[in-house]
Amino acid sequence: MFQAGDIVRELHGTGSGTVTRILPGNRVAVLMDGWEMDYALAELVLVNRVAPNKATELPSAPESLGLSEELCLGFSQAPNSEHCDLFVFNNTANSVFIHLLIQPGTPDGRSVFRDLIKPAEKKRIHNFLPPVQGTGEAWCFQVVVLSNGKEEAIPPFQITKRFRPKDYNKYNLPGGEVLWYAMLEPPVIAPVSEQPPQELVTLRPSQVVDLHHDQIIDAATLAIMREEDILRQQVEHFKQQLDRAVVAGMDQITFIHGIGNGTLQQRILDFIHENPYQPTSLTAQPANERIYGQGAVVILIG
Amino acid sequence: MASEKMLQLLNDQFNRELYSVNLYLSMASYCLSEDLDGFANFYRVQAQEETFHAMKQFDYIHQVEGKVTMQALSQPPAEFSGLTDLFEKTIAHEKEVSRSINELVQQALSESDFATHTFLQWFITEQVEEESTMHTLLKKLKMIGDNQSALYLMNEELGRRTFTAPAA
Repeated sequence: MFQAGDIVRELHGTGSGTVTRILPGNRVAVLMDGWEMDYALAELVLVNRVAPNKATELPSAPESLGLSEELCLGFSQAPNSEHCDLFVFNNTANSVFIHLLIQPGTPDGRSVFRDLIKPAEKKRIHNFLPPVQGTGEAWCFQVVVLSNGKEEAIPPFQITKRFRPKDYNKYNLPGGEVLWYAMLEPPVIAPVSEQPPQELVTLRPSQVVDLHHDQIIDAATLAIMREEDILRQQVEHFKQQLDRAVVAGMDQITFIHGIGNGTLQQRILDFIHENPYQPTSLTAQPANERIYGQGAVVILIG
Repeated sequence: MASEKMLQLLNDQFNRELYSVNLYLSMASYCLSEDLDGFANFYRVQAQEETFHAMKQFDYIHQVEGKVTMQALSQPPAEFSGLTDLFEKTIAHEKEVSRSINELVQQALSESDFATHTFLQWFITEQVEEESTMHTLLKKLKMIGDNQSALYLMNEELGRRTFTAPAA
């Protein structure tokens, strides 16, 4: 029998994901590539059983970490251990729903954590393979802000943090364990609406796809590829991900195209203008500049 | 007469093959700078094979009433961290070429362009052979490891490779 948090994969397929809920009738909900899907138990095999939550065992964050006002993500690695533990510190005044995706939008992308964290709560998730320094492996944190236990009518707040040593601070814990941690910008809290809050289910999934070439092409191939072919693969990846979003009935999808000579951005805008999905409408608008700078576009799917 | 889109893809592939020529000459030059003349010879012959591929496509494009447009070539990498890196990048490149040939085949099938489809069969077979050769050499290199005597023998063996135009 599976439990929430278990990593599973399809028995007769290649998909893998995290069990989010146990459903009636020997079925489970599995979060796979950002989508929650319904599976019969017989269709899945267990890959990794997540250890029970031991949040209470987590030592308080030392004051020197400066975690007093932030939402903080970190991971620790014991000496001589291949695996690491993930920490989530919520020192904001709001409950936050955190969804952790590793390498989103890539064939190796996987969802590893999805849970509610209350104010002043700390969680420790055991037994992760750590990101490899310098590889630019993307850890994408999808955060939904909750207030008074009800979801605000704001879209999910998403942050992508790549693991680069300069982005993370290092802290030596007792016993030789090393904690790497990074602050996430505090989520923007929308003013409390006078209208009744929207139901949780009305928030449809959204997705952020990083189109940077190092996110979709392996390093060895990238080193010998022609610039034209790199651009072609980026455009193909964009079309595939947009197609999935349209078919799945998503409201919007964000593409990080970066800031270069503007060719990729122009190809995206040209495709949106042509819109092969009519009568479904596609509208491009700049993504949140505070998060992505000028290097991303949100496609609204109508 | 092939469609405009098919001709465009064939033209892209032709230019891709020319990039392969430059890439393999760059690799040959790297091998020479490392005093590995046999490996350099292997890559020079490889560059000749890529030229043969390109010219085969050049001829076909004209046979189906198209016209070749030369494109600006990207600069291939010039520095490698060793022979293993060199062959890993070679395999990655050949896989990329195979992928683009497969795309051509898909396009030909979707257009019911059976002439181009038949023309491309030769390249599919050729790519299987190319990838297999490179994988074998990489395995040998890994087997050799730090053994300088074995590396000397492999260098000698690759130095004997000569270019013979593949059967059409």
